[in-house]
Amino acid sequence: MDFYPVLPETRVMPWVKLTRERMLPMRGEVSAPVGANMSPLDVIARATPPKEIRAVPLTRLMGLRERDLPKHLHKHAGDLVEAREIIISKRLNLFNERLIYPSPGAGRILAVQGSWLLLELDGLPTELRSLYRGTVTRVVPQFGITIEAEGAWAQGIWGAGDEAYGLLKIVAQSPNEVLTPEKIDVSARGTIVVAGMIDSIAALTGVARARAAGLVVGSLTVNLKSIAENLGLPVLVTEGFGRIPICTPIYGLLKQFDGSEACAVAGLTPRAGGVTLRPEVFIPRARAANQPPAQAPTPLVNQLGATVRVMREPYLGQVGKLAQVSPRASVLANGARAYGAEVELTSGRTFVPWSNLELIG
Amino acid sequence: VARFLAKRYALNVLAVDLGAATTSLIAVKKERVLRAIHPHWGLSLGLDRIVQHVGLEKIMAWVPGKLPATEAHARLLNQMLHPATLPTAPEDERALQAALRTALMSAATDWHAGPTDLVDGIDLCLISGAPVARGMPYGDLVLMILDALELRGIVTLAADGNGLAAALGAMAAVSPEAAAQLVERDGFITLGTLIAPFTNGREGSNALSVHVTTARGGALDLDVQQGTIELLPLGLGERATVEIRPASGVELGVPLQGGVLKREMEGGALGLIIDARGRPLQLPEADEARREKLQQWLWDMGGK
Repeated sequence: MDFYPVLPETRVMPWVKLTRERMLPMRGEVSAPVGANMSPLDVIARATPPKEIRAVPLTRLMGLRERDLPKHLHKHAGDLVEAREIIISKRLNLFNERLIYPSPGAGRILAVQGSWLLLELDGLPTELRSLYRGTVTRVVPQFGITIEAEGAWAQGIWGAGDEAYGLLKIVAQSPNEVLTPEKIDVSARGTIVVAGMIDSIAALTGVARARAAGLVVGSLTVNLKSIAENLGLPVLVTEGFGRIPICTPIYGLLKQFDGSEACAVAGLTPRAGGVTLRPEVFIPRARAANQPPAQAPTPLVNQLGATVRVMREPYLGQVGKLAQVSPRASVLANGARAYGAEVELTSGRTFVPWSNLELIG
Repeated sequence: VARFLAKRYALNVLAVDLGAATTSLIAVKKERVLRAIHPHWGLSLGLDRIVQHVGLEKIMAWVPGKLPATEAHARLLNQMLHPATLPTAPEDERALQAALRTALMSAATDWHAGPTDLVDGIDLCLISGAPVARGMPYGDLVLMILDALELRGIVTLAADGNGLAAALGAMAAVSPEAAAQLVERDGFITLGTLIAPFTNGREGSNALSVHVTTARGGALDLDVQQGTIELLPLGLGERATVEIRPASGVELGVPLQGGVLKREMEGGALGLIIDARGRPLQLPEADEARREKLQQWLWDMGGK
């Protein structure tokens, strides 16, 4: 009897019910009640971070003696200050040039003692939006909600940046099309751009300059990784690094919903700390008449005929069907021996170790 | 487990663990425990941090054969994304082994007492972690450890092929006898005995004259040249009497009698490993010459 090990999965589903938690990073106020229908841009919770106490060395900053501070202070203990409001100033020369210290933010002067000023700064309020179009099923007081949404879903493997919401814009005519700067124009503004591969800094920065909401690609070349991490644009990669086309199941799904509303969670490092935080794209869909409700995803089954994706070179990113289980360990090109299966890829039938396969669907 | 082995068998032990997210070097010498642990460097999740900390250029210096730096970097990042996968292509192995070498070197160098403090006087080196569990060829594994740590003297090498090291360490605290029985009954795989002289002679000059007499009566004579690695076949469980006569200026790190070291040594999966490449290891400056040298060493250890 053939042995079918449990394989990891990448989910690509046209109709699924997802449950997602939307939580504030700190205590705040949740405004969405259970049962409410949320749109992606609806604010579900707000929080104001704790105030920051900052000690300012006035004599060192201004080059003044301690006894001279009072005559240069514009604000005193107990006074409220706005951001950039001048707290202390000193005349530098006869030409009316002044050295000033403006408040770094809105807040209150707690005390002026000796050569030090204590400033209490207000934190910037944080608003948490729903991101998913769905129904609130649970409220966690002071933190957030759990929301249920129905639609199409595809998982990525790596991401940089935060979350994106916008219309999907497929700029690639095929899964292996490379994104070039000419393909990005003003119509990309506010959209989630989908391309096969990206290999130039100009193309990546072009997407950011066009003020796109996010970017979904099959792969990035390694020189773009650190740029993507610092760009501030949510970038979601479905295959890996190098020149790997976006796989056909994901491309086909996203192409089907070109122009539809979508959200992309680029997320943190995938699988960090043992927790699976995979980047994902979710496209909310309204249930058609007579269509059964979407179900939560159930595990895929590893069996003959299952759709699998290869996770290592030389067939990295290729999708095929499980054709035959190899009863014996095979010797790989690097001399290691491993159990695996014969997989029918577009390039032909080949042996792939079990550890290098994942189910996709 | 390093402490248990050191105490039970009165050995100086170096344990090298190459985990998915952590690289650890732990040396136990005469009850003194030296640790060099890097919690963010590993075979999988920590690969990106290794590249960032060590630098891609240093990693590429250890890649035999021609492999573009961007391709090596991409392969390492893809390994990070899929930590449970098995490298299949030789290029994957080369990039990964080079990254692990430099991570180990960096971990050893970061030890404030100096890297030689970790490796001097070691009797047993136990290698554990993902490379062993995933079936990295033993020759590649030992070469990686020798390149990174520059072990010297006479050292028994063992691998934790069954992933028992951590459990054995815990068991030893509760039942040392049970742990000892497991160790003595193939708990670890003996890779062989390393003979690594302290030498920096001219390449090609005679470093050691070795005479091996096996328990079954076979004999072998060999002159080991400076700059070479030799593998002498001596199987698992086999013992042989080894006489080593170092050339002038070459030291073995152990006392000699009449200029000769005569000792019974154990074989293993690799046998007797004589590393006469010198300490510290010198790599050619020129790229082509360096790659050829690295490839030659890999072949000498039975790799591809």
